[in-house]
Amino acid sequence: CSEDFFSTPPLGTASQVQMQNPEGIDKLLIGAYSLLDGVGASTDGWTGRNEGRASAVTNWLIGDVASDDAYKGSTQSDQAEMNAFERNSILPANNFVPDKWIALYDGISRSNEVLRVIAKTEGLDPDFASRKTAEARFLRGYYLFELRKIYFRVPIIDETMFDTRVANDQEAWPFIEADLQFAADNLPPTQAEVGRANTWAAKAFLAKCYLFQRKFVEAKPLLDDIIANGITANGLKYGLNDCYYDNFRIATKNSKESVFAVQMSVNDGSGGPLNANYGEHLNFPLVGPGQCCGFFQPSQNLVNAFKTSADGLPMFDSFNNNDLKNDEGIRSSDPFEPDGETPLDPRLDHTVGRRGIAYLDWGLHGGETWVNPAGDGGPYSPKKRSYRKEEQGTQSTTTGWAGGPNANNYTVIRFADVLLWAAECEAELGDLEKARQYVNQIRNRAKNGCAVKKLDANGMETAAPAANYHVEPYTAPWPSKDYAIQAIRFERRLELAMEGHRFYDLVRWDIADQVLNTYLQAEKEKRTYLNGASFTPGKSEYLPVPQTEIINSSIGGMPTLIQNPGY
Amino acid sequence: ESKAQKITLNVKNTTLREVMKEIQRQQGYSFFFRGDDIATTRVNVAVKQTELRHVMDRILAGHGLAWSIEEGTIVIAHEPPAMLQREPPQQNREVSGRVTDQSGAALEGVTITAKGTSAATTSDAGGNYRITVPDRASVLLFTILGYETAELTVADQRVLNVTMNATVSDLDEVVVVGYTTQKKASITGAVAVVAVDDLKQVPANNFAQQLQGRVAGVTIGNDGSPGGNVMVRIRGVGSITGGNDPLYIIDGVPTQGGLNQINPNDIESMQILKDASSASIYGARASNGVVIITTKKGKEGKSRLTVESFYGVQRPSAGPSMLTPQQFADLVWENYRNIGNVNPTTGNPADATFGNGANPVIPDYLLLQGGAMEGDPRVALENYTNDPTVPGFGTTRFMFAKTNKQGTDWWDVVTQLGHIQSHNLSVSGGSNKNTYAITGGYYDQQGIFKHTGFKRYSARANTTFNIMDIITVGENLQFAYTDNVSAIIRAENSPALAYQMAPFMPVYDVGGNFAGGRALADHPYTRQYRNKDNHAYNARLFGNTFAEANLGHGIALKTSLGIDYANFNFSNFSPSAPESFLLPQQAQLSVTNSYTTNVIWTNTLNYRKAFGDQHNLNVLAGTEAVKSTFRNTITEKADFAFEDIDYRYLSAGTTLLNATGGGSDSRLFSYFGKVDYNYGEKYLVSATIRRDASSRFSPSHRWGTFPAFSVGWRLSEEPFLETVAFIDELKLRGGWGQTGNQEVDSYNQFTTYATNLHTSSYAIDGQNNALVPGFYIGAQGNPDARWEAQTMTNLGVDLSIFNGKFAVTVDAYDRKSSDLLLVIPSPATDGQNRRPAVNIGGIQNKGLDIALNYRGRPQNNDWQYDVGLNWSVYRNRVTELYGGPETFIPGFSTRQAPFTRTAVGKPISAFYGYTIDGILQTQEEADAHATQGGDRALYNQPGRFKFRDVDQNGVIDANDQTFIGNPHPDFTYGLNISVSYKSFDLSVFVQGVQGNDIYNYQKWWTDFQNLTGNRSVRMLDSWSPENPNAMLPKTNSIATGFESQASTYFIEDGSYLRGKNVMIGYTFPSKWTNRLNMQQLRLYIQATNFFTLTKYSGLDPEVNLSQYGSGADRDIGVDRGIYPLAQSFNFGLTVGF
Repeated sequence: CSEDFFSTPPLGTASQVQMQNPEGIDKLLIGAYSLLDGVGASTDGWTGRNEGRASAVTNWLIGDVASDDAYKGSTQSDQAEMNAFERNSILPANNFVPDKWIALYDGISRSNEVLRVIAKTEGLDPDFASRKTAEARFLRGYYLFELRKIYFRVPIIDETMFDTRVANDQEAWPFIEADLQFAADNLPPTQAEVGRANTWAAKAFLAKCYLFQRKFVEAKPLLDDIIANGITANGLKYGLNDCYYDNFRIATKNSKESVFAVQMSVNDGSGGPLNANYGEHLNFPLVGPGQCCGFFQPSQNLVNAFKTSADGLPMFDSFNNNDLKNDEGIRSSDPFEPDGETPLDPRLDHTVGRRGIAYLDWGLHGGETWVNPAGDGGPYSPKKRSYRKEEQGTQSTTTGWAGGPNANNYTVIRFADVLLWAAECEAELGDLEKARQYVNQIRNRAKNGCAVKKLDANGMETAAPAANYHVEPYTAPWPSKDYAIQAIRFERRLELAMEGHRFYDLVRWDIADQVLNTYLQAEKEKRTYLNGASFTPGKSEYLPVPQTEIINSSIGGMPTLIQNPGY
Repeated sequence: ESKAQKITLNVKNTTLREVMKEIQRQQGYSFFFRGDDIATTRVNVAVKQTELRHVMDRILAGHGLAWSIEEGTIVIAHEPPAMLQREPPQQNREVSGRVTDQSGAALEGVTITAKGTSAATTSDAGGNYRITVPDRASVLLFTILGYETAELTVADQRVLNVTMNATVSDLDEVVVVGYTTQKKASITGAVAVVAVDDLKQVPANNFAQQLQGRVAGVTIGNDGSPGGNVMVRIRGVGSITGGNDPLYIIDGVPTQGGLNQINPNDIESMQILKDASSASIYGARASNGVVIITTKKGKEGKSRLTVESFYGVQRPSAGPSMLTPQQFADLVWENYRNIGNVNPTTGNPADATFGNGANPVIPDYLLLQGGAMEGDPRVALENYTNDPTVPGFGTTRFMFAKTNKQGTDWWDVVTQLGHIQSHNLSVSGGSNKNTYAITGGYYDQQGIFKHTGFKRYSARANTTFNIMDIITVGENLQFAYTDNVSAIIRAENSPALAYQMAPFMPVYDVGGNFAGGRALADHPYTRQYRNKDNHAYNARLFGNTFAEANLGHGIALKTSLGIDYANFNFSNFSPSAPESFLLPQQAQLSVTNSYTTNVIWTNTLNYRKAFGDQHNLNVLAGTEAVKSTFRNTITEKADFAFEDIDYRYLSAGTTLLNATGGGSDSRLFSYFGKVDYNYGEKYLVSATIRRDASSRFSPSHRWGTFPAFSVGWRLSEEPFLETVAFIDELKLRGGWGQTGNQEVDSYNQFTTYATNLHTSSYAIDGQNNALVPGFYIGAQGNPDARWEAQTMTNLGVDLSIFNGKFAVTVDAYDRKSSDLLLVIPSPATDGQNRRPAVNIGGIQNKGLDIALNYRGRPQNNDWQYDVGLNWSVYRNRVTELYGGPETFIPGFSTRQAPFTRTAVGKPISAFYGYTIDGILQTQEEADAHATQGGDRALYNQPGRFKFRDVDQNGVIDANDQTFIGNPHPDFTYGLNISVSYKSFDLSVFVQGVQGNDIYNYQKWWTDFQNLTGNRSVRMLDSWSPENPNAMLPKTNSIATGFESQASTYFIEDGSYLRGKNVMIGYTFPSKWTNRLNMQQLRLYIQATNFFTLTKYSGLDPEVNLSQYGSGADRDIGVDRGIYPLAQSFNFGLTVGF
């Protein structure tokens, strides 16, 4: 029997040799980009892990529900293991703990594969090779950055390792910085495709990396350069959009404010919604867009934070003394008028869906019927990842069991974010005026930036604002560095609320213990399920290393991974 | 006569010399042919346990030959022509006589027929008969159940008294073993010959289901759904991820699945090769045992027409005990109070459905938004809509249903009385040159869950043609077409959902549409209803054509070309579900087509020869080539303008969702050889070797060699035991052998890159509705993988005593699997590509199989009874895994983290989790206990489960999990009792499993406050200070996620004893059937699963395997919401013409 008889090459797949050319390399690179959304890494259909509920790029669960910005939402019994994130009582064996780890390391694995195939391909154009290497290292740097931020003790996996069971006893920051520095040095300023990383995106990530290490001196020149010269991959000079809402709108995605965004597509021929912002699929109200599940509900504390003083400034200490009027316990068919008196930051109604205020073009948010009526998560709905009614079925999914996923990008770094980092740097390094200027840029855009309008009886938009919006810049110089830092931090919360940053800002500012325990003490009065919940300093800052990963890292029966402190 | 034994022969077209040699071998007579041409006379004879004189008469009948015994030698000579002339043929000679048994008692009801004529009669109560036959050459056949058929030539006698012998052992039966046949007496391996007639008593859609409890060492698990899957495990579990299904050889053609497409009624005989010494001739696919099946062949004689039919009804067992609406509402209130979710002023809970009073109120109506009472303007009929897209939905227009305050019995809603019927018609017959058997079958089973069912249409034709006396050409072919509408057996779906549904919800809303809504969870009946037209069709052609040449001198050459072609088509239409509230509610159609082709070419050379008086040799050599091809396509479309059944075709959908497909090929080539030698049928030796090459392994690991060796010693043939009269047969057997397992992905050796529009493509150019395809490593290859190896040692004893009354077979085995093909759980740092299987790991199964048979043939000939008992035990232990003692392979996770573990020193798939030490009773006790769940404020409270601090470090965490249960039974058994009295027969079959644990995953849904839906009545026994000895903790929906983790709470004793089958039949006496020109008429009534003794609280303790895909053995004994077995009551008949 000849060898021919046994020759049965795999069907419908490619060999490594077939990938060793510029087209193959770029296709692998696309594969590495495609995991940016945090969805689709695992094929484990039982757990829903590939649905990205806990691994969504937006970090809604680990970055916002775990913070003072949001509740898990829905009912306590729905995705019950998520409750531990809200209570900061996560166990290493919690089913949602590994999701992000898996998704991010799959991204690293794919990035490394690009580097491996580049190394094996002979006769590549050196420019092409360095550009693609830079893109792959950009992605790897990003993935590892997220891992370091979320899991603290993380193994560093590069393209030379075939056995990836390596220890997690090494600080990852230098490795992340090296990848991002290489990307910044070798990426072009513009790219033919807007979704690709350019040199400015790499620089912005590098700056973020410095901020997380409190390396303000290194961050400042980088940020100055980005603010002065940065452009998007499609060649737009960085700037704030005129309308705040345009950052959360499908029609205006990849704007000049979009430093680096994860590209979402829907009804794209793939036959499913996994390329849309699918990790958010639970986070839609029961009525209106998506009609699902009612997860990720903004907290009362967050809503209160948008109250402003008579001079249009935030109320740092007193904002949570009393609650902005809400419709909790009131039936949708019973009348309710939202507060028309209290001065509010207009960004509230671009961030939070609440009864009586227009929800994009869906008419007024209906209150009780929109949130899960059996739920425990308060009266509010999330808003930033949603889509407009006019886009239903074209920019929102027509397949799958959840209707919410849509083509709305998630902007990982907005230019507003960059400006606020710059403000932080300036304040930390002593230039309070420069810092105030940056913050005022943000506040002025909020002030002028297209507030939500009141609807008339027919549901048509009127010229009048939906509430008493009143936001002003800081007109007086800041009295102290402490004041400046407080103002900047508060501004970050308002500007970037429900965008997945809050928890990690609190951690890097080292105030998570104080802020979250204060929050939980007050919030448990409204959300009884928070009774007894607390944040444990020295532990709760990071997720545990997933239990299964520690076991699977074993060599000769001994785990190579160690657990994080406190777990 | 030198030997008391009877002769058994089954030869066709064989020379008289060969036949006489065989008689010499069996009886010891030498023989002599008086005439040169006599030796080459070709004869046919089929006799079983017949005395020499009858055998000789039978052999020589019609050949003009006569025989006599002269000085201990059988002399065969031409009949003197004069004799024929001296006695002219006489017409219509009358013969009479008396039929008795061995004790001399009269036998009534013996059928006496004159061969080749229509003359027939039966003996009366005194055993007397009278029959008229054509001539002196007529041969009378005496038949009665339980006795050997007697055959007598009339010759000159007018009175023929006959003594009939009760059927005794089947040791001389010739059975099919690997590629050849062997007398049962000379088998040295562990081969179970299955009583096929017993199997057929169990109404089931495939023969494997019928095998349950019948054979020692064979474990069967099946789900009760029509056309449902079945698991067959022979002697424990030998592989973790490499597959544990046995190899099936049907008429010489191997297959490993698709049993539902094989009509069990076509089966004539079945042997199970349980040990390596008998199975290793099948080499690389034999490590899980081999089931050899031969289908019905035609026999020489006139055409026979047989009809076998039954019709019955199946009914579901009682459903689970769930809460009434009021109990459910009270539980909600109790929980709200316990978690402090009460109005601070009134102290009362509040809820959209149950109001805000001190006691919950079941509302009159249910809306998506909660409950409403009569008179509420929202539930005015004119406000009803079931279209969530209408303007004002939820504010002015509502979907609502009238609450069923008595409670909906969802179990009753989803189940039904289903019918089951089977009809088989066969025609068979043949001449001494050609035989044929043609059968047609129809099987139709409705499920006990509404809108599920299975139908099979099958046709078989088995024919042989003899050419030039030395070549036999034939074919065995079956075509089957099955039609299956299945239930989805998963906890999230029906049938389990049936009892998780809110009890106050009605089936239909006020608009007559299905009630539902996400707040009330999905409705179980709607899913079944909407799935009712989603048929899965399988068309399968299975069989072979063969040619066999008998070249003389014992040499036979055989070639067989087998085909196994299967075509699968499944159209799955999901209509829109307006009441579900989950967008999008668009109708979708998914069409799957696939085909599998296996072509098998087998060639064997067989040499069978006796040397001298005592040396018997059988040598077999052969080659086999298998070529397998699989291709499939899956297409999905959405946007159907209409949802009518005749509109559910791809062309009618306007949006293409998915179009995919793929394929795989594999090849196997083998050489094999076998030598059987025995000395005087006393000392038996057998040796086998097989060399296999598989495309699934890289060239350097392609070939595997599988040897085996076995010996037997029939002590009963020794002179020292011949004086022990009561021993008929005593044989010691011992064997050793190696087999392999190649069940690994066909492309395990290759690293491949794949593209996937969902998971590797990206809108890199920022477009909303278009993608750029990307690639990723789809699979990592392992070119170093080789066969899973298995070594098995078997020791056995066969004992038959008291003229075959008692027979015992005992086998002990040690089965060691090594080089297991494991897909090692890899760290996530490796990325999420498919990992290759590597050869690491070992498993050991040790066990004992015991089969006992008693055949009662009391003097009073009206009664006879048979009792068969089989008992088996195995101990399974993982001996080696990839990463040392701490490593394990987890089971599957669902709503709970994986709760089975396959770890060294433990059996495969042992249950793993926390140990609950009751419930914390006081604050002091709670404070003293280890920190639970990292949250003392929540979990260290009275009323909470007390988790055992196994590592005693003061913290309850993942390290406190241990092995908490074993799904493998202590032993399994089956007991079959058959009794007949005159024309009545009764058989009872019970079967049981002892000492296994079941992981009742259903309790996660019904005993805790996970998700919405109804709860078990067990929740009424929740902890409170007044009920300190409760089964469940204090209701608390916040704590429930932690407390419902995998723990001892879910472990239950899975032992059961089940009455599998009881059947009463009546065979009409031949004096009646003769008048109707029938050969046979039997009617029977039957009940299956007629009782079950078990402590298991779930629906059915038979949960052996709820998943059937790769690695399913890591999920043994997990109750994920099974389709329970039905009770059936059947009426059947067998008619033969």
